[in-house]
Amino acid sequence: MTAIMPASATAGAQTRGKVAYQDSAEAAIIRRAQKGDELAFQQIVERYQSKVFSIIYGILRRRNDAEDISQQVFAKIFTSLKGFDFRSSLLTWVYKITVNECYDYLRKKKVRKLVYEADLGEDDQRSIENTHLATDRGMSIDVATEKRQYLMKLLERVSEEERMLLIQKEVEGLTVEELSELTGVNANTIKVKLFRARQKLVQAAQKLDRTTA
Amino acid sequence: MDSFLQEHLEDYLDGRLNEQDLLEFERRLAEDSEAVAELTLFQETSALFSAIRVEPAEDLEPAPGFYYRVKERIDAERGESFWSFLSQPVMVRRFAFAAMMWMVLLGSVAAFHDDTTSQTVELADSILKQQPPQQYDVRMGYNLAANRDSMLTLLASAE
Repeated sequence: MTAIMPASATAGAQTRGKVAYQDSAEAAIIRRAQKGDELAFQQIVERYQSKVFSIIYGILRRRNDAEDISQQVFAKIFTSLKGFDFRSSLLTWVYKITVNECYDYLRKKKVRKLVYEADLGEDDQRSIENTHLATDRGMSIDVATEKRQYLMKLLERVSEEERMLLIQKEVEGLTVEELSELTGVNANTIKVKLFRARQKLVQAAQKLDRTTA
Repeated sequence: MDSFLQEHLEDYLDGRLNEQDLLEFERRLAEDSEAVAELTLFQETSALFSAIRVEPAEDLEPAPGFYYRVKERIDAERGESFWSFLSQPVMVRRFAFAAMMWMVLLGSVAAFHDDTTSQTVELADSILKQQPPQQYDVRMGYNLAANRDSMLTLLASAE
């Protein structure tokens, strides 16, 4: 599978993709924003705000949180835009920051919950556990919520790059060719990476199921 | 899973394989039970992604004025101070230009000032070098009476 195309051809295609993107109209806007042009940054925000919002909403399913995290994502983009090196498209970069912010949010939420429960007495904790169990039983009806939580756990166990490829392929419905264009990576390499990512996801699922059982 | 199956897996999962490749894919699959099991697991995990997929019909836009809220957050995170405007590239350029103009102005004033001074010194030198006419060769001192006498003598001789 890895020998589908010679490495030199892959590198050539990557360079061509990178050069093409660097010459695009979007790259010109990014360069202006990198130099501190506020209007250019506003254009970037307006171009990607719906995309970012819908990714976050898809993961969290809460509008208020989606709004708050979307703001955080663009604040992060503003502070780290100078480091953007045009290796991939801005969309891929924005996507990465967005998904990472969602994970940060979920982690913080989990810690907050643990801290809150640690402050309670034993009786209170027992009562909350019972409530959680009841809620969990209720949630089993909500298959989508269960599936979402399960999937986020699985995706946490693969690399950032693999996570991005899987989400863009499965959620955004991008083809291998489109992923190749966005990431600047050869299509055959994308196929190999996706195959490995799927294998890791399956392994993570098997491991998680064993642990839960 | 053999290399053909791996290579065409994504197109197969997307339902984008052409008829010929699809027949070949299924033929190879029929001969490889392990590949069938792996493919089933791939399809199961792939189905999980529907949980975070958003329907295109859903109106998913942040509330109006989103950019300004982002800007407010950025300003709050940066702890914008009164002097922060100095760090803006436009202001830096303006300050550089103003500083350059001041340098030019001060330089030209200094050059003009030096010229005036040298002219004054030259004039003073030339006056000092001039010898007064013989008849006006009066040396004045601190003795006022002697000065008065000298002046009267000079005036009388001039007449």
